[in-house]
Amino acid sequence: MRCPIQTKETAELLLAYCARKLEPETRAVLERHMERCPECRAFAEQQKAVWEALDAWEGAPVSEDFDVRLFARIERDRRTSRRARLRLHVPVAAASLLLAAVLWLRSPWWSAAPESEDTSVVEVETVEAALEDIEMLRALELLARADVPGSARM
Amino acid sequence: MASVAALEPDAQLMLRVKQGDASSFTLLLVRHRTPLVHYLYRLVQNQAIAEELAQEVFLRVYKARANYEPSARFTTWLYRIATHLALNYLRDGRKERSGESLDEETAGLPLRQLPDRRPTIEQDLLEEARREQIRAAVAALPPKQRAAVLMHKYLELEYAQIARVLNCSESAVKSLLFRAYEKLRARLAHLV
Amino acid sequence: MAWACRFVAILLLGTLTLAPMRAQPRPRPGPAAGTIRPPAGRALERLTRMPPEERKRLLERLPPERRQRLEQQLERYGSLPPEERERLQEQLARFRNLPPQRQQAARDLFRRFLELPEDRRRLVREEFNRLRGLMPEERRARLQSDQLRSLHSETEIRILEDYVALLPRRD
Repeated sequence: MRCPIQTKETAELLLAYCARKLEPETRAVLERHMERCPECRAFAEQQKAVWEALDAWEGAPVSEDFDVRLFARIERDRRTSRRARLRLHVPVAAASLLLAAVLWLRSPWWSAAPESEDTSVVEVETVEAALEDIEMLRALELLARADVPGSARM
Repeated sequence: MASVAALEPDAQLMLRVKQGDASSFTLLLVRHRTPLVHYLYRLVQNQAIAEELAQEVFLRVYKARANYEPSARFTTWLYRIATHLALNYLRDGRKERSGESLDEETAGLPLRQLPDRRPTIEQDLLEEARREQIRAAVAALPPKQRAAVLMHKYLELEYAQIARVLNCSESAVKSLLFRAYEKLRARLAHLV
Repeated sequence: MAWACRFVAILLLGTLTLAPMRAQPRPRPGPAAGTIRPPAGRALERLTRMPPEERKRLLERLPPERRQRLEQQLERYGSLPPEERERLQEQLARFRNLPPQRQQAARDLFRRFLELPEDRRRLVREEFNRLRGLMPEERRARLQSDQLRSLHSETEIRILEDYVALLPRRD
């Protein structure tokens, strides 16, 4: 094969190799090339080192109140938009508010505390998503350590 | 347009958000919140700013729901918004801090909290020093190279996707990545 | 004149006020400002430990099929020892850290796995376990081996290949 490091276009082959994204056949060809090419070999070793170093850079946990702050922001944005629309209808706005208050007091879907309902609905959805993923993780054991002794080997 | 069933799951969820299904937005948030914040943190290197930007991203996604069309992958759209906001932040921040080198700026950042599983203090310090070198090496990259590397390495996006996020050609992305990794190899290859 | 003004006002009120207020509560994502929302792990523990009556009230808004599924999942999760629950929550946190596309690939894989008949799932799961214990090169060799290919259908082989692709890179 042509030496990948000579042209930037095909140096992506070396990057893909280090990221373990190459097909087995292509990888085998590249590995045979690297046995004879010290430059490509050095590139691959250094790139793997970079990869492992970047792997060690983990992200910090997201703040626990991230979602709360986001939803508050969404709500503020909605109110701001609503205020902008209401300003266009000043003469009718006062009467609208009066009727809205009457409807609010009489309407069944406002009778329960909307805040606690919203919180519990989202909590249930969060738990549903978490349980789905947990069941998947238990079944597939993608993130578990291998627990099969030597007999597992071919 | 492809049938809904043929669309990727996130696009299907977003179409449900468009139809008023709030639980689908929650699900998208749950799935994408952490990787997005981590991407933004590594890009702007400030956790509080990263979370602030991430919130802005989700707010924009939510506000755009009425006109959403699945013309690209959901993650492409999400990270396009995120990268645009982050690069603007970095550019605006750099104008305010003109005259100071990036290294000077990042040297003042607080060290990250370490997890509690520490065998020895010496190992602690070595690990933290190592992380600091990694962080500084990435911080030294020009913003677009930095974004390209982070999307390539941590999000595992394909070149075509990165190109759509950065609004450039695939060959431009490959060039960005090649130059970025070259610089990172020079600074980090000795660490392992 | 006064009646005419009132009539017009009521008509305008109808368009401005009633139109955005639907018969169903307007779906809004998330709780109102100021309400503390726990992260997934804590919410899960809270629901698991909740008294049955309270949990029933919380879940009764869900459609019956969804409610039943969630109750069964909570039951299974709740029956695990605390250490196991903690381990799973740590795995969940690590999983949610992964790139979104990788997370979705894992969910897709699980869905395809569940579509297999029960007896085939057992065999595929055994193969998952075996592959996890191998080094990457050995996994690739195992996937290509006549032995494995003689034991599994094309669908199952694709599942196994995708499983190997999802395994953490560092062994």
